[in-house]
Amino acid sequence: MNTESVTEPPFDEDRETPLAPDDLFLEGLLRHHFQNSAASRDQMIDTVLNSIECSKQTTSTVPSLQVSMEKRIVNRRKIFQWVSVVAVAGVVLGALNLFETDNRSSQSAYAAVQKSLETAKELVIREYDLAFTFSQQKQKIPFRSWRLYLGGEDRFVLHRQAFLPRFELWCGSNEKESWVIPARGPVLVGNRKRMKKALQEHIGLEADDFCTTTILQNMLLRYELSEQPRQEFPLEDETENSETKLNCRYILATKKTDQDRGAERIELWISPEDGTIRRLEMEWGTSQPSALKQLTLSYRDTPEKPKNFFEHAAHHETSRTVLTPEM
Amino acid sequence: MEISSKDVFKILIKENADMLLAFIRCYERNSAAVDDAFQETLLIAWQKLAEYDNEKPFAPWLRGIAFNVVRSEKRKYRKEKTTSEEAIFTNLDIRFRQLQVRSVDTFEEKVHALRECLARLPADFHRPIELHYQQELGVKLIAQKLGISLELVKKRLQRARKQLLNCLLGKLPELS
Repeated sequence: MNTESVTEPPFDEDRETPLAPDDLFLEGLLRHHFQNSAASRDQMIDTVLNSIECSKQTTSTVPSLQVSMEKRIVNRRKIFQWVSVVAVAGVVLGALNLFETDNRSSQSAYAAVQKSLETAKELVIREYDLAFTFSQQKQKIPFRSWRLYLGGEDRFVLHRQAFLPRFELWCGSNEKESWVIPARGPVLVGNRKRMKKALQEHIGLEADDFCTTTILQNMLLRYELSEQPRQEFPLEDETENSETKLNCRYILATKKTDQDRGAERIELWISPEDGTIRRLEMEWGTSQPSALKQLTLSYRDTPEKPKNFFEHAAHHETSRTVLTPEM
Repeated sequence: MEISSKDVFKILIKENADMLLAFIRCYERNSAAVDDAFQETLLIAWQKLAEYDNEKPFAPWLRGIAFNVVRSEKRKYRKEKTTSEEAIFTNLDIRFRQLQVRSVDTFEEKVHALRECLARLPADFHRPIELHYQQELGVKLIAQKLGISLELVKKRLQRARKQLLNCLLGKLPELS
């Protein structure tokens, strides 16, 4: 017989965070004790260091930091161990000249993706054609049927164009809210978390699947990158009715682990001058849990749009009913 | 010997990685979110390295960045501000500072006491803790797995944590 009484205040295990800092502290230590993996930790550190290696800031120095840090290091046995590890690793790497070429390709790929990420974060509107297929779907959704406008990290507008107006759909997000405008019925507005389900219902995707800043960040952290020989992309020149070509940097990315729903393989073509994504192709493996099979973004233009373009009101009549799920 | 900022940074983050992960785990339950916050914190720390006051310890500075990363991630999904966020951070930071007072080398050694406290937990309490924190099961699944009521699982988790905290405070006087 169980003698445990239930006399203490009710305890909500599903709460977002425990209220008392000591509870949080203990929970952190417990999760750490049970879940910490040295291999996974070291891999994450290596990934970050690789990314840093390739960023522009690698060359920057902080002289004042160097001097005092040296003093602090002298008395630290643990740190000396790491110095030794770094030194030994340096010697080993130096000896393995065979890997030099691959390493250079990887470093330049990380730098290129880093640059592209900085460009994607700019508050400039970039217009793309979006196409995607699901693993259970035989026919690819016709190209040019979805138009995507990206405006930095938090802003997007996705428009499904259709011959029949009843199939038309707008959805989007800005710094404050996400929204879906179906052809009929009320306009749905809410925060990102609440609208995630609505977005999935209407388009079958999550914003993270097509927002380039998220994709590029994931590439830097979770993928092996390599730079391949450049490839030419046709550029339409309407004024002269002739075709010019852009020599794009071409990056291949393969996922390091199967732990998340990210694509197994990503191909990226970016403009060498400014890092704009010209084309991006993502492919999921058959064994992955994601319903997506392929997703492609193709750059169209950098259009001028009104200031309120990322707000729902810019895309529907004022007479439409607007529903806010939180209300 | 001149050591570059990058080498120093490498050494410091390797020295503080476990502490940082434990700190982030205080806020994040999901392991993928922990990994993301950890890596983002390191990248931001590198970008802001010039702002770091090297007369002060590195670990609290790193925790400050991690706190901002975790907070901004949570705010994406929650409009209202939580007034206690700063107070909780301050208290947590004190706990981690207290842990670092110990003269032993690694963070793992510092929290070794927790392992001993876990070993002393009665089996009825240890199992739910293990299922919840190791296998990341929710209380409903734990209740099903152990064949006990939901309320009882919650109570056992709550009491186990209380016992563990008391045990830790006893073993690590600097936390008191």
